[in-house]
Amino acid sequence: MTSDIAAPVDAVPATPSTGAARRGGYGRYLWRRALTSLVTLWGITLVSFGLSVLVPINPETTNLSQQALANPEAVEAFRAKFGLDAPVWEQYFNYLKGLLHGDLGISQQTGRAVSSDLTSYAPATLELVLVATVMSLVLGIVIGVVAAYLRNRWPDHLARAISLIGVSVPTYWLALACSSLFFRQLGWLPGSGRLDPTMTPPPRVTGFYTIDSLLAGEWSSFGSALSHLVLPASVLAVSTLGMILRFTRSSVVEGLGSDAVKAARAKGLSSPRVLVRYAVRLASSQIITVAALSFGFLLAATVYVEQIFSWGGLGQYAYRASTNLDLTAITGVSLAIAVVFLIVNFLADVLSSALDPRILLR
Amino acid sequence: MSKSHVLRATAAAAVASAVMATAACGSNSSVAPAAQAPGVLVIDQAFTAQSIDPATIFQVTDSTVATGIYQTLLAYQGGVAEPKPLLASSYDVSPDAKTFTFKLDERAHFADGKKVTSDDVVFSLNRLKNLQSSPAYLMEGLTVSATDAGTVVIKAKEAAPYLPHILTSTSTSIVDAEAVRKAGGTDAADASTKDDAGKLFTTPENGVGSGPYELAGYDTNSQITLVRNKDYWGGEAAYDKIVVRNVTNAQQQKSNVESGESQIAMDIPGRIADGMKSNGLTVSSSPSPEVLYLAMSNDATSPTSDPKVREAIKVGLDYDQLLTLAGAGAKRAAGIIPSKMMGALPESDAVKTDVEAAKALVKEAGATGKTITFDYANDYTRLAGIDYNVLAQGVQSQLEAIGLKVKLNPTPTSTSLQRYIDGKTQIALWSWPPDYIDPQNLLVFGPGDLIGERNDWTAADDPEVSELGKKAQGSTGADREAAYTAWNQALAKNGPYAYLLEPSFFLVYASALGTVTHDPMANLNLAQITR
Repeated sequence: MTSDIAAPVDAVPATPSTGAARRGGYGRYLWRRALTSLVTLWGITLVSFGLSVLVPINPETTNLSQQALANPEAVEAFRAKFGLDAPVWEQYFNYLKGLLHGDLGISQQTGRAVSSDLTSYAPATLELVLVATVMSLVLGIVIGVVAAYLRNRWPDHLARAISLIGVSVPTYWLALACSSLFFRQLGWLPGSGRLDPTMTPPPRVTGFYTIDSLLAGEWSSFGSALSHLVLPASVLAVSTLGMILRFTRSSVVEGLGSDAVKAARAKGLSSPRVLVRYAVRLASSQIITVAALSFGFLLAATVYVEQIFSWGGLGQYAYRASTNLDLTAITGVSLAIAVVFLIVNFLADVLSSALDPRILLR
Repeated sequence: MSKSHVLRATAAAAVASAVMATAACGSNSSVAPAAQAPGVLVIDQAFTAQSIDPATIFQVTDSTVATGIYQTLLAYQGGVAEPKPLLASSYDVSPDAKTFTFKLDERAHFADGKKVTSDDVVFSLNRLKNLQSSPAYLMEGLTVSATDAGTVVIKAKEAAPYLPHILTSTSTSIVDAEAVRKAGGTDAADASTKDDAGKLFTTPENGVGSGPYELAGYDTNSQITLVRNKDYWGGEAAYDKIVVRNVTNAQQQKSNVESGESQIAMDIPGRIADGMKSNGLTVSSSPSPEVLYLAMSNDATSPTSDPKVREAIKVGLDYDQLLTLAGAGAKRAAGIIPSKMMGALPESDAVKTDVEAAKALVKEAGATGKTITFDYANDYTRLAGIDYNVLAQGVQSQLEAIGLKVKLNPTPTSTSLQRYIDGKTQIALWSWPPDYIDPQNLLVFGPGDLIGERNDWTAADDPEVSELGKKAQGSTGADREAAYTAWNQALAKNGPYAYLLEPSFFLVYASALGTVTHDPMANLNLAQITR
């Protein structure tokens, strides 16, 4: 039996020399990333607000009846109610001012505070996206590692085919096809919504039906919530599976060719140990990066999937807001998704830098 | 661990995933729940929900839901476009159609137990007027007063023989005035800035309606739930619970209703619904209350400002082919007034296609090869699921066959509508969803009126049609039909509109249900669905 002659961390080259320097570099790095995130957020408010203003449509056109549009008093009342009667710069300033107090404005579509709408709908989307992310990560990483390990053999060819299908099949089409097959033809899974329509949603704690039903001890609701998750989450997972699989495969292949792996092999370590403790670990920072990217992609892709499966989350809310030019809602959703995306990416960066300190030097 | 171990590990992961999925399937013991919950009615609709406060309702979904919760003075019954008493037990109209007196049904009371009185009616209608929201125009020129607790008088500035139709609109629903006032509501002139009762209407079981159901949950994104009003004054509600779900995709609605997950699908277009008449499903259709038309601008910069070009377009279109493209249930429209309204023209009066005559007119106008921009909403499917993209391409090829060059300008509905409102279109594809089933609602198409103006067609351009419109507006009693027919005929002849078709709306529902009929407004009246 071969002993661990080289600890895995030794496989990672050139790190800052002392712990203090490393901590200082790490702190600076975190600050830099946090500052960049804030600037990005401000940029997002500017772009989404700017785009909303630039489109040649008046919000009242999509929110008032045509007869009301012909009545100046009704139009004036609408514009005053939503603060649209102020100059654009003032609208933006008021928006930012409200933002600092957690006020995202009032949705013209629902008549509620956008922050309330986001709080209502975000858990549905997050539940879906998190499950899809876990599914695509587990499958993508496992298949990617196997494909890299058995490079140019049939499992690798199969993995490439899966990857190609994953990245090429349009999500919208796949959602329709899966719904038709697994819901309509086979009757294995439900087709619409988050819960059986005859059931009452569990008392809200997290907004995740699966968790809330478990907390309430409502097993039938849990079963229904879980079964409703399977189809939309699988469809979403397929949309990023190809990307994760490809990145994992190429990163692990690169890792297997590294000097550290060659050294470990020369020391007589077993192949699986070399694979898991050296090659996969070397590839892990890239895998984390692609996982974060795929999470962002899934947040966007959920718009299509929620439409098909009537999921009732942020995706459907965003779709309606866009088609009805609900400016405050559009900006609110953009901001919310950006915040989630930035947080996930920030965490990914932190994790990657912890696993591979070379990143701190870049 | 060898390579075969890695393979086995992969297989194990795959099996684990499959087991998880199977467990999820297995745990779902009710993929077709309808059969197990006979007291629950599930309806699928592509949502347009925005507000369930009656005084601000103008979206189809809200209107559908409101029919279960609230009641109006009058209502259409059994799909027939004739206003019948609902909260009013009877009503009288003065000979000049300016004074309307309503006697309230003494039995009527709200879900909170309070009796429906004339104060509630006055408050509800004045609030509708003064909130200045989308449906406020319904109250234009009207004043409401109460002579006693059970009698309401509505006076109109001008003759308003169409008022009974207006009073079937869910926007004119009567709410419990005391409860709404208590929640911050007001019917005063400054209601648009002072009323703060909005939240009350989305509060579950608020008791302010008098219909057979109460609101249990209102989510404009996913589903709206109603529960039985246990104290309904009109008898027992048919269902314990009604769930209206937001299912935007027609194919998904089809799958749901076929599998029994839902019992009624409201947005399946004719081309799909036509093939579903089996498997315990009933397919019913009802002519739409709106006509699909091409608007041709009279603006001098548009080739369509030449009456010869407009006439060429009217006679050059192959309407039968367009009907095929629109799908089942569509029929010819001879005028802007749809077949279910007074003043409609028979199909036999519709324009006859004459391609040769159209070519000659184009040539005569010197418009051969001239480019005309054709605006349409490429995401609009609300009109019986008709695909405007397909229809627009059909129109394009037909107009090119008579010598015109057509440039398609597909844009999202909001953009397309804005261009139309701003008078920037040359040819535009639109329909007009009426707010009540009376042709008075369509006078906006006259020269100088709302839609006429959008097409730069002024009263001075056509004094004849303008005069006929005024006559129709002022007509009462038995004269109305002749007046509107004459206006409709003149509009069809002289107006800058080509009437493409009148579609049908389809309802697909489980045959096991009792009465399910289309409301004349192509809506669904939840209160009238039986088991």
